[in-house]
Amino acid sequence: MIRSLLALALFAATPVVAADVQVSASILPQGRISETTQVRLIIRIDGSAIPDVGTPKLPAMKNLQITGGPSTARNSSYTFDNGRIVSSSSLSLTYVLTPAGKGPAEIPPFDVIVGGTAYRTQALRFNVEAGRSGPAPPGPAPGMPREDRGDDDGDDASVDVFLQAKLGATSVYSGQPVRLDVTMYSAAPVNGFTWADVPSLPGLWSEDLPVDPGRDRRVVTMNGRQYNAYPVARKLVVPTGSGPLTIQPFSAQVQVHRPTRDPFGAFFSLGGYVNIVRRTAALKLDVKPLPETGRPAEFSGAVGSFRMKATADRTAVDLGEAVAVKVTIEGEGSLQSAAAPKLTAPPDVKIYEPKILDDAMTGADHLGARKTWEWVVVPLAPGNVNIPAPTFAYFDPGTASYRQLRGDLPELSVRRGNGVVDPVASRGEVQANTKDIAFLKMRRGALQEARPPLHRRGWFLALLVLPFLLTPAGIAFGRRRERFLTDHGFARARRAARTAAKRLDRAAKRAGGSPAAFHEEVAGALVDYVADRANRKAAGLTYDHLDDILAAKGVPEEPRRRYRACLETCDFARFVPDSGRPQAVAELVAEARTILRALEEVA
Amino acid sequence: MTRRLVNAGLSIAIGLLVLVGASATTRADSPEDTFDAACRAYDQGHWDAAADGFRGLLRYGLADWRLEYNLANTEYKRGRLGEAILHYERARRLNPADAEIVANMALARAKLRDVVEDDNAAGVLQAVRTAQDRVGVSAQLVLLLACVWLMAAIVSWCGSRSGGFTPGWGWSLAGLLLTSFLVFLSWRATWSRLEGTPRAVILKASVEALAGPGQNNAALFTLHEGIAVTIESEREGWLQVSLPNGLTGWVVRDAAERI
Repeated sequence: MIRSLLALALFAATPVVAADVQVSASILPQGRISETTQVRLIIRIDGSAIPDVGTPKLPAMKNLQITGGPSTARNSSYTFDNGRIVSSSSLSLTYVLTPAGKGPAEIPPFDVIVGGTAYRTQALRFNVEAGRSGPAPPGPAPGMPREDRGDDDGDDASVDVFLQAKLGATSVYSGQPVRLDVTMYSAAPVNGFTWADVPSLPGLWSEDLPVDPGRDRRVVTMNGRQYNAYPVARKLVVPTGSGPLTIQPFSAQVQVHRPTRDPFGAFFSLGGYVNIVRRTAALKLDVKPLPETGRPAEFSGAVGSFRMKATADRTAVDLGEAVAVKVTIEGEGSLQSAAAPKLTAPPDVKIYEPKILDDAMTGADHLGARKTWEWVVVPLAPGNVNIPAPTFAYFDPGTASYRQLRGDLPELSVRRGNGVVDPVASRGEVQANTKDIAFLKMRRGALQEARPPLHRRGWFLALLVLPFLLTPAGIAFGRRRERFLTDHGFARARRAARTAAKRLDRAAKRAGGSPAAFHEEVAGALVDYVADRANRKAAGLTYDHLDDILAAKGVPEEPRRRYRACLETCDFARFVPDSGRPQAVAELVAEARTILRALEEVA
Repeated sequence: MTRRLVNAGLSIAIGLLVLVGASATTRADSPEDTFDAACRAYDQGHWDAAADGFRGLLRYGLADWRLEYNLANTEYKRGRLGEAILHYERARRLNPADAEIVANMALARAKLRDVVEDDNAAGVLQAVRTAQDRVGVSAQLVLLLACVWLMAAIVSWCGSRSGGFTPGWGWSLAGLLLTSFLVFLSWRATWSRLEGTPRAVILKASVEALAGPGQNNAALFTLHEGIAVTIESEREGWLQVSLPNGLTGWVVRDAAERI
């Protein structure tokens, strides 16, 4: 049934024929292909004479990756046909391909250049089945030859070899180390082993542990069969975050001895070697986060079960001499991210940054760790010095709680000695010995009296409100000023009354001189006033024109009549100089002013 | 008789001299002179004399941050932490940008018996507060005033022109409006932070905070000298105070003094 399903795959391309050259592509094996089967792509060129063949450029393939090739094989043959010698040649190019996973696989058509001519192959499609990653099921040994097998090439499922990856625990806390072992189980003799794919381990810090497959080989029985178990990889992995993690499969190419079907050959251990690919199953690891509650301030990521040892290399020193303080943390777990224990410097003691003396994995299974820090401590004053006990916090997965270690240090006796502190040993940043308040503030200038805050002072509020009042006035002023500058008629009209008043003042001053000039000035003031208000030229305006203008501006009859009478009086006096009386001068000016006021009010 | 007259004249003259001298002495003891004399007393370690000098100046109606700071320093030296913190708080209110006020107050607070988390902002908020303190409350108001006047000038100028508001003037006006708004908010926040909330400092060595304004109420907790509290309300010789951790109680008014 399985074989019939597999027959759905197309295993050979139809040859492309051009002249006497034929190009074909095919794959081997032609039977069941699993994700651990090495697939060979064979490009065969046949012809009486094979010109130069370029290396084909293989297209991107679905679910396949190239792991070897091309290797070439050339074959020539000669036959006699009716007394003629007929020669034929063939050239084979072979690529080794490895399935990326189970599912359909495809090699798209590609060109093979033979003697400058491109020959196109057809697409090759087949199905990749899931490979076995565990021991063979109970039954006849799969490594034994089977008579019903029609293929002549490596159905490597018949070789009882498998890879197995195993985690030391499937549920751990973040930062808790766990061991990952990859073991190859083989029921057949193994000749070579090469990693094909070692997955990256996202979310995990890992360190390779030493393995010796030959030395650590052991014999195990699974499903009634005996296997040689070879540890091929061992890692210590430490989750750096939390949440579910997946470790992708490891895959390797294994060269194993394949027994021959010939009983004679089998008796003498004859047979060939076959390269097979084996792959582990993916692994799941559940990583629990470290609890937030109860986490000490000095906790720096150590997870496990530890103990502390603190020592000082001497207990009595001269002033300025250095004391080495060592703290060792050791136990089961990871110290990879652990920071140095907290060592607080008492007054008059200088403690330098620690250096790590030892950082090692311990234990037979390498799940232990040891880390040693050393501080250089320099007393700066004589007397007895008690260095506070160093403290170290870690998370204990066994009890799911945080724990704190303290390592008591002996009291240091600091002798005065020569009384000189080694300037190099005591070198460091200047630090305050004690703290006190800053000194007084000296007076510069007079002391300030208590005043209400700025926003409660009248002048400030006035200054704040004033812009809102001034803005409309400013806008009005600006508009008026612009109209004065741009509208000549408006400017004349607005200045008319002022100009006329000035002329009347000037006329009054001239009253003692020439009467004609006086009357001309008064008449000019009256005429120019109306001309300015109407934005007309004064020259050429007759009494009737002036009257019409005033009437058009809505001036009533009486003011117009008085205006005309005043003008006529002036004109008459200009031409009859002795007609006026002295007191009539002042009356005329007063009359003109009255008329102008009346016109100003109306117009 | 003549001698009596002479004696009387001498007495009057001496009296006048004394009066003149007294007035001269009064002029010499100006607030500034008293301040300098108190500083000298502090410098010589005469804490009591310095405190009397600085405290006497407060009666002049002065509100100078240097005076409050120096008085706080003097009280600190005298071991009166409550008075010291009270005057540091007042000095900080008058000049929030001075780092020494903050540092000295922190040092004084570190000696208090009561430990209460202060309202310390972090990150951007702290940077904004520092900037606000450095600029000062009054300077922010002056900046606001300048913005208002500038806006009025732009509106007047553009409103009186036949072209009206050009895009450039419009954007300038919008920018000034936004600036004014932000400055106003900043001033309001600064004022509220420094002056808006009535606070007091406990001056008694210890005082019981009661459940109500009366001795027949249950004692909820005890406050000790120097702790600053927020005044929630007042009633007949009692202050209802609260702490940053949410505790609220009533203490007698005499036990605390307003900042």
